[in-house]
Amino acid sequence: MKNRLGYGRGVGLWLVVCLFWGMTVSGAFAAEKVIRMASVNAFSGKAAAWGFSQDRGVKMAAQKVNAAGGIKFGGDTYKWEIRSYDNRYIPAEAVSSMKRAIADGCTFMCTLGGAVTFPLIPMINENKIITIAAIAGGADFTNPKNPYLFRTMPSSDLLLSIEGIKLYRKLGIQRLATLMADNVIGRGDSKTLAEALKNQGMEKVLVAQEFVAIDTSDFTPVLTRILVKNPDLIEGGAWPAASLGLLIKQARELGYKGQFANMTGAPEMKALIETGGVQNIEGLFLARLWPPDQLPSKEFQKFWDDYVAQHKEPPGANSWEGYVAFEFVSAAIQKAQTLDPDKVVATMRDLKIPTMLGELKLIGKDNPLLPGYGINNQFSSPMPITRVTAGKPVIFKMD
Amino acid sequence: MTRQLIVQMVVTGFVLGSIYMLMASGLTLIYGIMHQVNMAHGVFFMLGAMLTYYATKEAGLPYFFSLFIILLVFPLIGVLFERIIFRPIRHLWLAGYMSTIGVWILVEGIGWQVFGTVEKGLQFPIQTLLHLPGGVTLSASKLIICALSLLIILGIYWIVGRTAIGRQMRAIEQQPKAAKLMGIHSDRVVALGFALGITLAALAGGLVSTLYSISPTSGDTPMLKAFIIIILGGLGSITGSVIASFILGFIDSFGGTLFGPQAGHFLGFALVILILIFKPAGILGHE
Repeated sequence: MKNRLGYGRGVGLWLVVCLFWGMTVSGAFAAEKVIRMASVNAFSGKAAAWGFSQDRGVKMAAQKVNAAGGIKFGGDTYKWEIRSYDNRYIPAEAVSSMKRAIADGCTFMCTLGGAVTFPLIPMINENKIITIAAIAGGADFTNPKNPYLFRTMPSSDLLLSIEGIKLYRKLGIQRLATLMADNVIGRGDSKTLAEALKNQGMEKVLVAQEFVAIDTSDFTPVLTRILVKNPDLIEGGAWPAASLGLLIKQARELGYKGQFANMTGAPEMKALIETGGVQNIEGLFLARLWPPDQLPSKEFQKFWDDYVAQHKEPPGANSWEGYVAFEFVSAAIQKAQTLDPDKVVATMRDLKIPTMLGELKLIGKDNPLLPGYGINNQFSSPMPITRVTAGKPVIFKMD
Repeated sequence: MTRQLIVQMVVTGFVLGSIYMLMASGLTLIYGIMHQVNMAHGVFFMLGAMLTYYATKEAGLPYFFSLFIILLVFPLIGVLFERIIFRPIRHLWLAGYMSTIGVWILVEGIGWQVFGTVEKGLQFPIQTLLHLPGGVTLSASKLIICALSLLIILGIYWIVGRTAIGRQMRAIEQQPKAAKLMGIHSDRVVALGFALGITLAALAGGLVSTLYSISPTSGDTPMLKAFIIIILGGLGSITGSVIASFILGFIDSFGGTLFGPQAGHFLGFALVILILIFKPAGILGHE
């Protein structure tokens, strides 16, 4: 028995030596380096569907870049490693998650949600962490003071002030109410929309502006308050799917027959249907959601199919927006031939790449539609406005 | 203010009060018998909601049958929980308090792994809107849930007031030592009382699962409301908690509608503080 054990140990040791030697000679250890990106996202709580959506999209893009050989410069090959941290959509948790990520050597970050991104800004700037973030809001985030923060989703200015007002006009809305989350994003979106309506001479259209806590389950009292004003449309802004579903269901239970829009949120359809019910959410207007049967390219179809195969559910807007933004960052590093954050950021500002959504570029500087931005840190690519029909988003023709 | 608005606020207040009542009654029952605060009460609410969700959505069982399963499963869970967690430390107030906090955190943590992180939702099988006099609209689901809540509370009154086990529960609540001397098997009665309390929490979760979304933390807010209610109503008093539930329901409805959601929360807590200043034991509590 003793001899057999000794023989086994010898063979094992020999195999380990061979493996190490083989990897060293083949160059697997020699020049391959790692770039770490932290995915500081909500993996639990009401915004978990969003968090998983972005995290998975970014990881799929990282797999694609790595499978294609990674990023090469200076004689080295760099492969991406994505590390996930749960912020539970709580600002304090987001701060501690980011601190852990920096301690773990992460030099890039993806995150989601303005309320939880806002407290991260000082750390992002101080550590020059290039961050791709799905955040609503406008110049409050995207401005020359935040050079490393790039918004992957269309800003509130694009979604509410431009597309939103276009939609309300097309629908002939005479009485608009807003019911938004009582946080930095909800308050910011509401203010952005009110100012845009005023600039368009439509201030009288806005009949109610209400806010409730993001974790609200019973919207009945505040909806009763709103419905007294007889709105034609209730704009929710950026509610997560489960909250939006409840909000709509409870409004219908109070007899509301008007319309709903949630222009900045892009909720996950499964959670929305489960909490809201197919009948209640019929006619809901959403932005950013590409319907599976109306995708703009074959590459997008492949991404969709791969996502469904891996995760057993369809991707959300944050998946594909995170995916293409990640490709963009990778392309910028490749072009800049460095990981120096200032040089990468400078390269990103003038870069344009073809993606599955169409051409992707950064906008913001000198753009009259984006007041106060002053910097090219807003991603821009084609985006649909959809209307939920029989539980599915269908592209709504705005022209 | 229109008549329609007033009637709508009254109806909403009544619906909210009924839901709160169901959440709080189990908690106050457990406190009355055991003189222990069950910090894990919200967990049973959540588990009841999850059981209803999986039985209805995944197993395809009728919604009302899923509620019936709660009545079969949770008394057993309650007896086991009382025997394993509570009984060994029943007389150590702080240890009991801490152990239920431990159960709360543990079960919620396991819940994230088992049930997933994406919130779930159920639709009530009857999707009818009732148009009441005065231009008020109410969903049939809320009306049925209110009616069931009232029926369940009447059932609790009947058990506690009219049955032998209920008399034994009251005896243990009022004079534990005397009850023992009279031959009441206190361990068994406490276990049954505890099982009844957490079954009520689970049933509340099952009923409310069609009104709100379901996640492993679904029980946290109801538990907070339930604590406010039982303190307001008087610890251990079922009638006190029923009264407090409707007070809180009407405050949430009137305050939230007239002054906004933030004012609704503020008014609720302000009233609790005021009542406790003038009557520290709560509305029907004993000094």
